[in-house]
Amino acid sequence: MRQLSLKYRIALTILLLEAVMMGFVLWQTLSEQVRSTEQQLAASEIVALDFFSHAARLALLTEDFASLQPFMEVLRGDPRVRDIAVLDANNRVVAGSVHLIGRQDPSFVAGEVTRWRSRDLANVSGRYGRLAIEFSRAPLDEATSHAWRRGLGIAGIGMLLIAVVGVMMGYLLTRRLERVAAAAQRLAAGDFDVRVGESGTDEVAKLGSAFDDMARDLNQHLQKLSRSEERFSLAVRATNDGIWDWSVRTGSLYFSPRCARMLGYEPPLPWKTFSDWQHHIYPGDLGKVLEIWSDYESPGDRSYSVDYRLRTRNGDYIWVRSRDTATCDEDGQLVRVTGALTDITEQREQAAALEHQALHDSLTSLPNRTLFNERLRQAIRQSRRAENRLAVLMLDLDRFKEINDTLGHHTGDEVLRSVAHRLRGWLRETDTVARLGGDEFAFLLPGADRNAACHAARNLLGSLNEPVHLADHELEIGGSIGIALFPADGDDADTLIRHADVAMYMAKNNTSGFALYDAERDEHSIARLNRVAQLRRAIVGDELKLYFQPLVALPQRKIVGAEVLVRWQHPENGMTLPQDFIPVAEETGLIQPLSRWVLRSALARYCIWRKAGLRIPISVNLSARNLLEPDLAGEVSSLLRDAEVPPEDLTLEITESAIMGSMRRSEEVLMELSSEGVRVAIDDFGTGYSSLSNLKALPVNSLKIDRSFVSHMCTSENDAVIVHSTIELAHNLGITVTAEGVENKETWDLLCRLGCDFAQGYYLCRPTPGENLPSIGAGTDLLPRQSANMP
Amino acid sequence: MLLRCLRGTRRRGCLCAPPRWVRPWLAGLLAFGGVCSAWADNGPAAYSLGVFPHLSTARLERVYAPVAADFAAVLEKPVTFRTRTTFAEFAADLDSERYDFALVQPFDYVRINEQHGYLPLARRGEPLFAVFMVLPDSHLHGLEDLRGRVLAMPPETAAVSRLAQVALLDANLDPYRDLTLLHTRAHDACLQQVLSRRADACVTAENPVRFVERRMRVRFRRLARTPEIPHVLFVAHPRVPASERERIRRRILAWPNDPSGRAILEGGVLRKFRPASDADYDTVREYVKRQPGLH
Repeated sequence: MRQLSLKYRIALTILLLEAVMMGFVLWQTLSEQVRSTEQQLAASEIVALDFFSHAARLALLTEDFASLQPFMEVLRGDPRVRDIAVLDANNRVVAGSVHLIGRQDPSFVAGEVTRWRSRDLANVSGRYGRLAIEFSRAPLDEATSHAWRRGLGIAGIGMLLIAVVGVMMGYLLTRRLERVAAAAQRLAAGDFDVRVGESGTDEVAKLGSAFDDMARDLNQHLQKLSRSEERFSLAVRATNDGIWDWSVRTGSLYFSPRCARMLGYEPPLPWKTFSDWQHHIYPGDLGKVLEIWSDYESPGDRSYSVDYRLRTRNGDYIWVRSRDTATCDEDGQLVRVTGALTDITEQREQAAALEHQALHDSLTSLPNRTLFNERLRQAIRQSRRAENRLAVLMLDLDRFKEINDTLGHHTGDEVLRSVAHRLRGWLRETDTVARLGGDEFAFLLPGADRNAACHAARNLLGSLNEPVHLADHELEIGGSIGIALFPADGDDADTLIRHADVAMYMAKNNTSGFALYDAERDEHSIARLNRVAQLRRAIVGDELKLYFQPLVALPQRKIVGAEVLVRWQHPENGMTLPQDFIPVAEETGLIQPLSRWVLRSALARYCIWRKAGLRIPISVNLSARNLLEPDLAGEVSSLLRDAEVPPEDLTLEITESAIMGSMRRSEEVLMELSSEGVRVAIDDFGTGYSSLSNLKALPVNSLKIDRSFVSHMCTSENDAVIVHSTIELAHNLGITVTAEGVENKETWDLLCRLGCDFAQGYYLCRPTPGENLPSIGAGTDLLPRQSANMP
Repeated sequence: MLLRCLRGTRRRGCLCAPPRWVRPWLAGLLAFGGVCSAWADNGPAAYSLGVFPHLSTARLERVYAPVAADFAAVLEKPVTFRTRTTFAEFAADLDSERYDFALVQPFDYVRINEQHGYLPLARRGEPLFAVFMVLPDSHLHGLEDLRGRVLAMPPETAAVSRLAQVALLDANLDPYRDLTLLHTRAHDACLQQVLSRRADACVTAENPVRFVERRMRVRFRRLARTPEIPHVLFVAHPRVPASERERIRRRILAWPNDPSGRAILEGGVLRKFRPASDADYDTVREYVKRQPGLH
């Protein structure tokens, strides 16, 4: 049946249906007709019987059988009537068919095609007899047969017509369907512009219209898909990613050519299973990859991303990033995993480099502050767990700024690199040395106690004793190291670093070059805060005292001036020397009011002396902070005017290091002061890194040689040379020289021989209160100055 | 005593002692006598009621078959209704004493009473007279207008026919010469002739006129009427036992008194019946004398 064309199937189906229906209807109709005919015939028989029985009854009761003749003629006219018999009450045929008349008790037996119908003839008064009529079935059978013939004929014609109509309908239908089918084939062959073009509103037209819509949509979708694929292909090419696809149901695994080339293979990649893939994963990364793969089975669509290493064809490993998407069906079953592989080896390396760069100093390749802090935190955790100690050391190179400023940053960088190299050499493997910035280095010594830390500090400082040899220079550098211990000086990284930094600043004033953290000297410590408050009170109060150390001219031994030294009569601690509170004053900004107080008080003392007939110029120390004051010269001039002290009787002493710390600013300030007539002296000369060009540029009136050289000049040839050289230098520049720290006669004599201009020291006179200075000549060989000209 | 005689036993004083060979004969005679006696007391097992064909057979059956059934209910034995298609045949049946009961017209009664001893039971209460009927629009207004016309009438021997002939004679019309007589088989048939205008007038009894007027919803106009004679009557053959005759007579007279009897009267459009005696029909005998050929 399926081989048959649709039109024939339609026609055949219609025909069969029609045959069944027709047969049923025919049978029904003919049966009904036969039944109806039989009923009609029966009815007509009954009618005939009724018709004749009345007459027969009347004939019987009148015995006038002749009167039945007309009725019998009428009956006989009915071709169905075969025989008639009227029987009287005695069952004798008295009228009817001739051959029956006179019969007594006849039996009326039906024939094959006949039947007898009889009716008793009676009225209310009694029975008169019986009427019997034999009817033939032949007409019925003939009518039935005729009906069948006619019915079958009609049915046959009808079925033929139906068949023809069915075939035509099928043809009409299939022709249009064939058109649709042809269009579908063309569409399948790739002609997306094909259209059926059916018009109308019937189902085939709708099919055609739907086909056209489908073709149009398909065309559009394909174009979109094509563009999308092209876009995707370009995008994939642009991303340089390899694509892979795993069909769970079929087990097939696909790798794009890019994947193969990424791994050094010629496409296609010869991996067929996940197992192949797995064997090429770096063992250390296998765990996380397998964990991702095992998660594929979790219900629901998911996306994953994992970085791992894959072994290439030549055995190397590359870093890849796999971004996967697992797709599940409606039941949550995994059906597909698709992913993209990106070679991130370069990215990783760059990241590592960046990380290295982020955690290391670019100049020295030492760990930077960030890495140092991280290691320190880690070490603290470990020390805390192990109840161990550790030490943090902070190293600041001495005079590095001068080298940088003098010799340039390039030289400075070379110095830093050289120092970094040296410092690394003195450490254990477990130690960390980092460059925090500038000339600041930090050290982490896990497990180090106080002694070990100090030992390490000495070694480190010792490593810096060797001059740095550069191409054109040989530079001597030193350093200051601050030490903070865990947990004594802090139990967190920030605290330890800060405390080590504080200690480092303390070490700057330490001859050993290193210092352990002292909370007392920590500006953030409570003791320090108290000290600051006390100092503030001292400045405004009556606790500060001025002492004056005479400045003596060589060889006359005349007092030509006095250096003002401030002392703090601490109510609890007693007499406190400047080195114990001046740094605090400088760090807290109290140096300004302190300096004002000192200057004002000194000028007041000068005035007192002046009134006493003594003209003793005074020298007041300024700190580096004072140089940063915006109108130092103006204020000094104002104080001088207020005190009515000639400016030339005031010398401001500024240490060499303070000047060198901010050369430009120092030059400006000193110029201003000099222009006001104030005299300037460089204090502690020789301890800084002043260059001759700088020295020449400054309006300096005097150099004061640091006591460290003067006090040993008799025993140290080098110191003697330095002193001599300084005297010579100063004289060549037209400035006077004052030697500080003269503590014995030999030194005095040598200074005289070297031509030093002035001296100062315990040998000559200790610092003394201002009221005592005028009487200093008594009992000494110092001659007080009597309004002498200033040197 | 007879039985003792048949047993042959003697009693003192009994004079007869038949011989042995006589006894069977005596027994047989005795049995026959018993049967005759029984028969004489109970009558036949079934009767017939004959009705003269004054109406069509179908109509007669409708009216008088119930009468026969009523008689059967009274007598508790079958009574079959009979009639004939013609007056002549019926008269022949009467003359052959075929019917046990019969409804006859007066002239037939006179004859069968005289010849066969039929006994009157009950007659229709109203007198019988013939009426000459025409259609309402007829131009005939008297018997004399019948001259040269067609006059339908029942069979010649019918009572109304005989009355009509005398009436015509009295009107100086020779029935056989001055007009055309059209004899029909029954009273209603002659009225049919007038309705179909085959006859200008008809002669019939009053009852058929009422019957046909009611049945066919027509109207006739009376042209003339004859003198009255006693109407038709139920008679019984003398073979019908007197008790049964009497029961039938009473039943006929009692018809107005019960629904079935009234139904019979209404079905035949009849008035009640009255007892009939032979003397009532002496007037009919006079007519017979005037028409001896029709007797």
